[in-house]
Amino acid sequence: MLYSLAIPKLTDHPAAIRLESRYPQPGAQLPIGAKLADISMDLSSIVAQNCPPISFHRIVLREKFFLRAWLFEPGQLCPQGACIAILSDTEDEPADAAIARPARIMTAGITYHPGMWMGQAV
Amino acid sequence: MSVQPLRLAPLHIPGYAVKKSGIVWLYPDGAWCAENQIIAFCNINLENLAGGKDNPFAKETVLQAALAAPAAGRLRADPETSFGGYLDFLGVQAWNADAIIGFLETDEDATPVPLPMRNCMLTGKLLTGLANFGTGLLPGWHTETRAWRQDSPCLPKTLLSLAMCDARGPLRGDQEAFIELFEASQTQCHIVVASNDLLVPNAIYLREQFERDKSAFNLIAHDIEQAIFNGPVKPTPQDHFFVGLLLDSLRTSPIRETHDIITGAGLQKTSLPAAIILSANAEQMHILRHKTLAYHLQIYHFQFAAAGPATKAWLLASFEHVARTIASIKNDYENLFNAVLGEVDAKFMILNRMSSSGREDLAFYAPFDTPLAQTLAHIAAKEINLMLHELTATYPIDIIDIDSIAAEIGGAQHLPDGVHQSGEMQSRIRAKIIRLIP
Repeated sequence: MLYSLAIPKLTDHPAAIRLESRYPQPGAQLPIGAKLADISMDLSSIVAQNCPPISFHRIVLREKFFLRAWLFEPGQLCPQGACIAILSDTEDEPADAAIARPARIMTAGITYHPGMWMGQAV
Repeated sequence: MSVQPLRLAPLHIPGYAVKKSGIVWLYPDGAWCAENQIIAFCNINLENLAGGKDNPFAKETVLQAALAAPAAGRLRADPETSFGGYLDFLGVQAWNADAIIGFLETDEDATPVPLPMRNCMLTGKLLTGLANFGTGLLPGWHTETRAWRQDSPCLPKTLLSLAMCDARGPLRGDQEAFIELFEASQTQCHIVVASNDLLVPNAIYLREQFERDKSAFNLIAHDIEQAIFNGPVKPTPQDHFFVGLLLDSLRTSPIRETHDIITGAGLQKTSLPAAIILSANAEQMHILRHKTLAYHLQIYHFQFAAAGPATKAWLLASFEHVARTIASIKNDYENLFNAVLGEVDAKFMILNRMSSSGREDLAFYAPFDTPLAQTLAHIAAKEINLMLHELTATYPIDIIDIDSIAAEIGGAQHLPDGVHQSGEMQSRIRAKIIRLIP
């Protein structure tokens, strides 16, 4: 079966969520606890301040899967709930199978690191 | 009921003629005003009686008097005090302390006696004379803004904020003009807020800025000049703006600056700061270090987009990322405190960090490399908060406990990104800062 990697709901406020880093390559076998992606969340539209309120988050897998495909590139905006990758529980699951459900993940607030898309200038 | 006339407070500066613009009323006629509420403002222009343009606020260009109500009552503004158009912006009229500018209808029966308005002075150092634009309270792009009560009977102490927007919001308020601060207290403190629009004001940057002499700055400036203007990438106007602000940020430390202020005693020069506000949020786990000159800087991520191509090429070629640890951050704080306290009799106020988040659903920590503070933002925040408490044993530090305030009133609602607070939370932080002013 195929599973979706969905952007978790991080806030009730309008937010610009951007894919900052992708970790595994398509085809990779992913153990429980695999780090999948880092995202940033910008709440500028709700908090008028002098600098944008941006926080960073890491998505970590809570099940064993294979990564089949990424659907977003680093730097792309992805709304809450958007499917950013396809996962499967076998390596050869047909790519046109229906998505069974979202994969179980956990989300952690992380510190900024230079590998993020946002920091690519330096 | 009684009707109390409102007049301007005396504003004398020997050697200068004080001119004012028309008065801009912030509330409509008939509005109920609380005592100490800022109800109007005007721009101030100082004319040097000896001729020429020299005046103590020449670099700051904008000098304003925000006028606070001396008592509670219903406002009856004199419409003749506003001229409209540019005349409410330009200093066209002599400051006359006998002039009646309006009335307050109060509930109490009292003999009408002209009540002097309370002057809260505002000024700001413009990044460049080109940034002298706009109208309203503190218009323009400032690298530093200042505020104080003009009727202070003695020379006020200076509270200097070198913090990020987590302190700027509580200090400068919704209109960025210190209104909430004045209205919330009778503090006689001279408040200075460094804008830090480009560089994150972390401990290592602030210490280097404090210790940097002119020759060290000239080396940095020469390197930037060579890289941007004689480098492989043709600079654009964005490069000029960006490195201009960068050089301005690196040039001098606000800790070393004294300021002219107008008080009831006339023109006075302030002492070095008695208290300095810092943000623990500025202490991130990575920083840039120049490969040959070895100075550090951290540019706000969102400001990279404003850099021109030559600046980006210079940053890529000339800097390396350096990881920081909790121990190295503590060391950076100690170096900063030792350097500053060796020359300045000040205490520090540090806003700590929100150390939890409802957005996390961590079930286990195994996926994250140790030390966890290098990766997990809220572990880093907890460890930095603990480290600040350790520092209080050795250094004169007051901690503004953002973590507990947010936990008490609700982080999700009042501190949605962990840095930018709601109005209610800002008022609590403001009250805490006011209590800690020396």
